[in-house]
Amino acid sequence: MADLATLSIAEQLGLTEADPLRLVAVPGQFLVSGAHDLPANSVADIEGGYACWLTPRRRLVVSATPPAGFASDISHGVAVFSIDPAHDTDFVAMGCALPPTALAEGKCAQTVFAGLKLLLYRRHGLLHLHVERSLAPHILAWFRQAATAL
Amino acid sequence: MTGTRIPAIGLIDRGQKLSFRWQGETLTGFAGDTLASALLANGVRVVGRSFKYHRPRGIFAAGAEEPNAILDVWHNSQNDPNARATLVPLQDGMSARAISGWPSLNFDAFQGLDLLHRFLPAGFYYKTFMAPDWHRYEPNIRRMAGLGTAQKTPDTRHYETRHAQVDVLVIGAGPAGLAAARAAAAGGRSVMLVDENPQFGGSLLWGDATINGQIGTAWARDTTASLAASGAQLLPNTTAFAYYDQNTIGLMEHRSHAASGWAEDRLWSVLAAEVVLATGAIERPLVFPNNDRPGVMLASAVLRYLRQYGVLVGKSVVLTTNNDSAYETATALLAAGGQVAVADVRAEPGPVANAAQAAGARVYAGSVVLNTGGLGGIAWADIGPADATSQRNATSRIGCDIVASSGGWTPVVHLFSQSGGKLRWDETLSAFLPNTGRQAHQLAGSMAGWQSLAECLASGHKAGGSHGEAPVTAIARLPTPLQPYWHVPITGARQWLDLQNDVTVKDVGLAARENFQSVEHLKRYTTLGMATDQGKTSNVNGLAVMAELTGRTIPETGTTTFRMPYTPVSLGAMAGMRHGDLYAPKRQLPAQSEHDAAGALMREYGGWMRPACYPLPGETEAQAVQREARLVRTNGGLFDGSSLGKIEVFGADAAKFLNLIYYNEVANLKPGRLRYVLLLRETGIIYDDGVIARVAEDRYLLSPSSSHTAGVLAMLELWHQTEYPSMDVAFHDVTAAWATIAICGPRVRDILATLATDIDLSDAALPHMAMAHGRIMGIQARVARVSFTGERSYEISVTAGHGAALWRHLLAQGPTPYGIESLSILRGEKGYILIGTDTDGLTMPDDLGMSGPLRAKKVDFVGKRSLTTPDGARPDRRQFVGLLPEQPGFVPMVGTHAITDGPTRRSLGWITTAAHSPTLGRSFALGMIEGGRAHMGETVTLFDRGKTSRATICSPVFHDVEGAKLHG
Repeated sequence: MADLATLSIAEQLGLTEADPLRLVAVPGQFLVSGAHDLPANSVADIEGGYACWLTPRRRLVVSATPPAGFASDISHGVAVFSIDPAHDTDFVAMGCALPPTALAEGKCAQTVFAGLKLLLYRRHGLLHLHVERSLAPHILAWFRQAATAL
Repeated sequence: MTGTRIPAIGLIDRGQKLSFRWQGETLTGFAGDTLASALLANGVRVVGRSFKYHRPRGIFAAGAEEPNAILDVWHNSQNDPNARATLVPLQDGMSARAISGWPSLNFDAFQGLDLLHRFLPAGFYYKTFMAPDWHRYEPNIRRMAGLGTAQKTPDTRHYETRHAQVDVLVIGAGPAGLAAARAAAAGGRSVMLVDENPQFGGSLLWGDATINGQIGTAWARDTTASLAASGAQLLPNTTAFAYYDQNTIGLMEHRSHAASGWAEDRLWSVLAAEVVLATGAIERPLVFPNNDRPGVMLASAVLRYLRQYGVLVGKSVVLTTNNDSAYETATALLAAGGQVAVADVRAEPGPVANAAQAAGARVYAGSVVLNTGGLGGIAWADIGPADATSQRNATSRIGCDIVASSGGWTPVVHLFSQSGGKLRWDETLSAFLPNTGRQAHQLAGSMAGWQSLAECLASGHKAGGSHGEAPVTAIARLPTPLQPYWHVPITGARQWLDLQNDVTVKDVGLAARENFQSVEHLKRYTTLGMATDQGKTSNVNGLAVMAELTGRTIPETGTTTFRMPYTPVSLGAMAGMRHGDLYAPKRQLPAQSEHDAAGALMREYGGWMRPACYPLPGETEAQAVQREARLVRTNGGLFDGSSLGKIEVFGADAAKFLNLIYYNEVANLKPGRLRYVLLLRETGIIYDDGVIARVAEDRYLLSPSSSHTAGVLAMLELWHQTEYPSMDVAFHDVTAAWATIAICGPRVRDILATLATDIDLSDAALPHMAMAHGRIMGIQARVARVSFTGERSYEISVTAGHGAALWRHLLAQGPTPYGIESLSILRGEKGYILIGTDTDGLTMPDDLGMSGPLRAKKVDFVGKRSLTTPDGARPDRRQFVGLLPEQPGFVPMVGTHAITDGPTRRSLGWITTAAHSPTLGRSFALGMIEGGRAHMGETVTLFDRGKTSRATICSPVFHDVEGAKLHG
């Protein structure tokens, strides 16, 4: 009996090269509660990956292995995209009220974007977006529509 | 009025001829025209009928203050049903129609109303259309008033919304605004400059000015170019319509071209560290008898149409004024070959008037226009002394085609006032000026009361931070002071204050006599300054008349609040991209592709797109639902429950905390076991139900209903952060990370046998209401034995990416896939409630027969206090029961009432769920009936829209009453 096959988010969405979003492969995502020392609204390298500040006592850890403490594996629940860097500031201006400074390299923000709660941060020059898997088709539809205005 | 283009004057591009239609007739204009200037150039005199009396009206102004030329404009299949012609840049192929006038603009069937004006004073509607109900008359009155008609078909365009953050937002690109933007940019700050007109320059575009040795228009052009080069964001055709808190400004941009499929309207929300208000001033008219005829205009508008658009609106013009500014119009008209007579209220008009006289104008000092006449427009104007008490006091009748007036200038303080700023009355200017501001803004130019160009430039430069060289212009000589003049002191004739709302001096007099003397009452009683106009040209005149009639000063009389928006904002722009498929986000199940492949009818339930049922070819929805409900019990069923909430709770105090929140006892739950629980609001009303699993001593998994997951999480956080912050507990919503597929029914154990798993699925290891973790077919998984159908049931959860494959594997084993609609029958047959369907905003646990925890639970929990109130313990509360219709084939509508018998009918409650059950072979219902549990076996009358039937009250459990199938 064969193991269960994975249906990737890319397959589910039918992403193409022409889309303003690119899927980012991450080794794993963990929602972690408990004290941490990340500066507010920052994304920082940690051993085995990186972490995004969510609240004073909550962070998102992107790595292959779960960190200690209360960590929930949400790898399958959250899609990670990078936004077309040629137009990322336009998309941010259309989607939410955050100023570009809030999304400078190393900064992250949980915000309501295009009506959805999601996480944005800039890392290695690319603006990343984490959105709940079930809402990924909606955010892609929004980006595809918004891109026609550019 | 003929309307003539004067060669070599104006900023229009005569090389670019544009064709447009007005009332179906093809006319031409030029690039750079507004719709209004093009209409005037073509000699169009009447553009609409007035709101109340259906009098003909013509173009009155040249800017946002236009009260009459509100037109229905189409261009590129885009429609604005109430466009101000003065703010619409003319486009080739544009089409415009009047929004009033039936059957035609020149012959209005209701124009007879004007003859009855004596019987239609202010407040006429309120006094007349009282019986039986105002709403019976309202639709016809609205239709007669002639507002634009919204499109009936859906608007398929997309509307863009933009956010921006800048150091300095300059509102108004006249001389003061340009000077401010220039200085701010020189100071190295990021600048955004907006203006409601297509061209920057404001009054420089039609005024006679020299700045830094350049003609005003050239200086404006060069300054605009250097601002663009410095990286400033320049937005022409953009109205700052609202000033919100935290220096947030709403902008409405009208683009001449938008990308395909996008609307030309774009809404901006701009957060500015500093705002420079350089919004200018609006000329206010003088008020005199018959001042509403087509051909009566503002003096500055006549000047602007001539200088900016090269349109001489009339060859013979009578100007009536109380200040110097109208004389620039006089000299410009004379230079263009027009004839000019000026009636000046002032006994000694001064040097500016003398200069105009020397240039050929006839000046009548101490005079005003006492009447105007002509068929459908202006043919003559009577001039007489400013203190005339009768139209017979007229001394001269002058043939003319235009009467233009100037009663001084009203600073545009709307945005300042919206920002929370307070105003003061300035006697010298006879105007309200900004006094104390409340937000981070600077004031510049004529909106701050500066009159001369030199003062406007200097105030702008200072407002921008005084960086760089200040622009220089010649210092103008001091003007002869304005003489306030609010209306001609004669009583017989009608003198209009508010042209858009058809309000006259007499109407204000009536309001004063009827004691509607406060400005707020005046506004609502007479409609002065209401609607889209917001009193731009009428406010100060109206206030002054009220002040005079009540013996108060103008500041004592006060001013009404300036409301946003400054000019109308399209509804589409406010909605932005939130329409069509993007209107509301809909969540997709991980196995969506499998449901599609199985032919599911997908429908939205609580924000999720879920299968309603899986119709076979040729099957109706109702047939599919009946088939599924039958086969689940006889064969086995497969259901996608992935949308059910999954909240992980962790911490040393997890058990203690959850016990303080949930209605049921959850602290004594053993690891690996499940419990059905209710969650109440503080009022004791049921908010949600669900299943709680204890995963370990310090870890729980909550499963709230699909549409309440976010709400439950927020409630947990709220109670933790406010009431129990010291408790060691945290919550993670992991709903989307897991796919949950339920299998149930007689064949379930055969199907389970096909799964390669290390989980012991035997009844001993995994009894009903238990959960186990492990791997299924190599994937991390958990299995919960919990049932919403009454059948032996297993909920299998795997990581979301494997949901589709798990569904596919299970479906291949032959169970019947079933959707929400058949689930509703299955759970109904078992008397399992659905929150929000069987319960409502009044349902308490005991109403459902779940009073055990209230009696047994020792610790406090949310809502406990309310359950013990007299209302919570009332014996006649509606209780959850089953109902069997007398006719087994009859399925009552959900919402059908059960009523008392006898002559005085009263509702005893209603049906919450009803269906035909294939298993029972008959219809059944669930409902909330007053004191229902005490009336088991009794029959009751059902009432639905006049029809009655009978049903028997019974237990809500219709199938497998002992619950044997859960374990069978």
